[in-house]
Amino acid sequence: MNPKNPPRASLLATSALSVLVFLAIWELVCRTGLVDPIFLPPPSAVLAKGWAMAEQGTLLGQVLASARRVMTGFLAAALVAIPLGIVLGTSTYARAAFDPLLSFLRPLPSMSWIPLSLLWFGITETQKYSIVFMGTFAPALVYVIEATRNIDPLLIRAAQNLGASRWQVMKEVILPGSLPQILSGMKVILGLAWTCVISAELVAAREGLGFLIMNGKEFFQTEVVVLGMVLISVTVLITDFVFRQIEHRVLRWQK
Amino acid sequence: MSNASMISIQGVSKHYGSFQALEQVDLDVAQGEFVVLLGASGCGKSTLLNLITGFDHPTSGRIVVNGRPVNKVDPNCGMVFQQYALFPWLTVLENVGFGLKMKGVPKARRNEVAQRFVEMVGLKGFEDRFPSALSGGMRQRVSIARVLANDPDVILLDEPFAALDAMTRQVLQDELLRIYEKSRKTIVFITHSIDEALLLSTRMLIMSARPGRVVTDIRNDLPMPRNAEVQLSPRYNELKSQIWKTVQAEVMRSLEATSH
Amino acid sequence: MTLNRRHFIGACAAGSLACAAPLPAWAAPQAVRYGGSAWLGHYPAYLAMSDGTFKSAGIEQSWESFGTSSARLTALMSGGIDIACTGIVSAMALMARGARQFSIIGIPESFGRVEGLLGRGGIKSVADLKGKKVGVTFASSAHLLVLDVLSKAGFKDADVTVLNVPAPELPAAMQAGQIDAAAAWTPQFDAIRKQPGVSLLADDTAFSLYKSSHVTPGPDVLVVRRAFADGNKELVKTYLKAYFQACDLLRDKPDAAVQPLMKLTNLSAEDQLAAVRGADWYGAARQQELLKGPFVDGLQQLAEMLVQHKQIDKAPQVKDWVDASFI
Repeated sequence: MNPKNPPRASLLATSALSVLVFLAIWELVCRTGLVDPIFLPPPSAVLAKGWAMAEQGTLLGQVLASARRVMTGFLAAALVAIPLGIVLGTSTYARAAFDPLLSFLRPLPSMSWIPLSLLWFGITETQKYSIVFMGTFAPALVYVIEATRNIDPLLIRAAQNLGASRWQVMKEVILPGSLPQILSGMKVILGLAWTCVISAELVAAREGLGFLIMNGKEFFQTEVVVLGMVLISVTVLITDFVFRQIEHRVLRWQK
Repeated sequence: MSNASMISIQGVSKHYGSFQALEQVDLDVAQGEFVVLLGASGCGKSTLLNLITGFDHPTSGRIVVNGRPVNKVDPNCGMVFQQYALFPWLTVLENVGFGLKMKGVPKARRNEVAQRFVEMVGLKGFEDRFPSALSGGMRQRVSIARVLANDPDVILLDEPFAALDAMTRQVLQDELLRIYEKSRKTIVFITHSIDEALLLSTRMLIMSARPGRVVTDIRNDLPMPRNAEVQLSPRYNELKSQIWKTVQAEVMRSLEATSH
Repeated sequence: MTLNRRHFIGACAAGSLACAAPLPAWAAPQAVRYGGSAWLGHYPAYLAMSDGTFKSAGIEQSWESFGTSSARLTALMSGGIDIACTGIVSAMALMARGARQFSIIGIPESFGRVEGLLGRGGIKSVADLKGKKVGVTFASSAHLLVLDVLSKAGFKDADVTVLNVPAPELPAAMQAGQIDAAAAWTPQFDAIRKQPGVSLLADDTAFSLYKSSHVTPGPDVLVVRRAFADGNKELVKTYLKAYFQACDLLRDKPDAAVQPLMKLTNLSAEDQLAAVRGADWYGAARQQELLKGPFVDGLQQLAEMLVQHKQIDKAPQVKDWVDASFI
């Protein structure tokens, strides 16, 4: 057995063990009464709350409501960013035209878009999708542009030599060629989309994990707040896993 | 054989800043010739090929291919690259059919034609494989098939077998000759290897560096097929020795030039 | 936060020292940090600060703004502020969790008519709300009013859609027709009421507890941080004296209060006067009765109602948090 590459099972066991130890310490600290449960609820309280919600049948609904908003905003951003990014990655003039706008949009957090989105879309679901969209569009675009730059220029030459026009090069070479990097970038962007869920659900949401967190805060139900946070993390872990499966299927051609 | 040349290089010079890659190259290649460009590194062989395909433009002079002046990338000059340049996300069949897809040929017909060329280069059964699953030699065969399927007037090969082992190289050289004999396309082939030049060519052009130009133009009168007997014949050695001397002289000259 | 804690400790030390020794008239003023907003419940604290009442009592009040009662109470809990006026709903949520870090030490006012449920278009009564959308800020007094009014009208959860809309967004949402009804307090209440085609469906006086015990859906209470109060008993007493002087002023001479308050609220003089007049201001004299009598029973019923509407898990014993010793 190579000491640099320990078996996967023992690595998994180490991770699992560290999680259990962490939870045990957390629970113990709360049990001793050192901390007021309003400031830090024990994991048992968080679990109990989650279980209660699952029994009521409301838990899944919260996750799905947020998932719907996150996925819609994310897909909209990806569907715009991918073709646009390929065009911008290919044409230096288009890039120069877009760069100032892109630099302006990039650092803006999703939360800063709340006032404008409320003015434009009111208290509709579209407003929520737009928050996620604005939080992910610019970084997604940057990822796609970067991906197009990593295409082997020889492939572009080969395509031109085989008669491809400018558009055909973009569609038949740059798009499929940058797809691996685009997909891995989109995985990151999807995680980013979930960080927008709280800002997205601040107004006119009745369910969702962001709503759960903020509403729990209003009523000082900190275990609900922590439950919401845990559910967001777990959901992102699951979507990551699903994404990787999709990657494997789409990128069959890689070694 | 027609009088009009397939490739006409007229007074072509190319320099990059102060570096003179090619100077006053005048050359005519007739239809059906297998021309091999020989020479040391940096003598402009690849540059010349890039100018013929239209990847680059001459600083002065012009190039005419099959009666049409070259001013942009033209699929009529199909290029086979040393690094294969296969599209990794396409299967062998899809790679070979790429040029046809760009022309707008419908899928069924495209696959039919591509299939023919896949078989021609001896890769029957590998149609649905991806390039990552192929050896270097097989990838180069796909590359050749891809160019052939497009039915170009001229095929250009830039040291296509240099990255392969000796045995694979031999197999592919035989393959290329077979294809040449069958299709009678005009071929321009770059190599470092004098043996390869003698094996494949109908005409050899020895180029020199600094500045790049054609130094010697030799007709290869060795009989086809160039089997072991031919390769061991006195005429073979004669030619080889002649070329060797010329190349050596040019290498010496360019070394002297750089030491100034 | 840590900085504020240091300030608090410093202030507390200074305060304790000042309280322990007999105070000469020229002693340094004592610091009190108040958490407020432009809401009318904060008028007394703001008035006493701006017209010098606190200063002449030897109190230096600093003002921290918070948009919601929950944010204000969170700051109180973590030691960022010492005293605040808060809606009872948030305080009850804290009490339901067993948080003992604060006490209720006064009742500034009652504001029955500046909060209500308004409908637009063809909605003229609560019954018309079936299948419609109502916007209200969750975890507020207006929210409880909506829940109460809807349940008394016989609606089930699915019959009416109640949406969480932050107070500042309500007028725009009503105007744009994205909601059919809105429950708000002043000033959004007044703004929406002025919109064309809007009718008042219910105000606080329609609240079921108001009808029985004169308790509105979310009366304001004055709360103090326990740690601060325990170390500064005399200071808190002095503070309340000055505070209720301001309440008296608001009740008896509202015109005098208008100019200073406009700096807090940015209302027009006319609207400001109406806002002051819209509440019943309680002075020091009434506090004993309020803090020890049927009003607290009314608050207890309010707590039960919150449990009934699933806003909090269990009803706290409200009187355990009331401390009338500072009046």
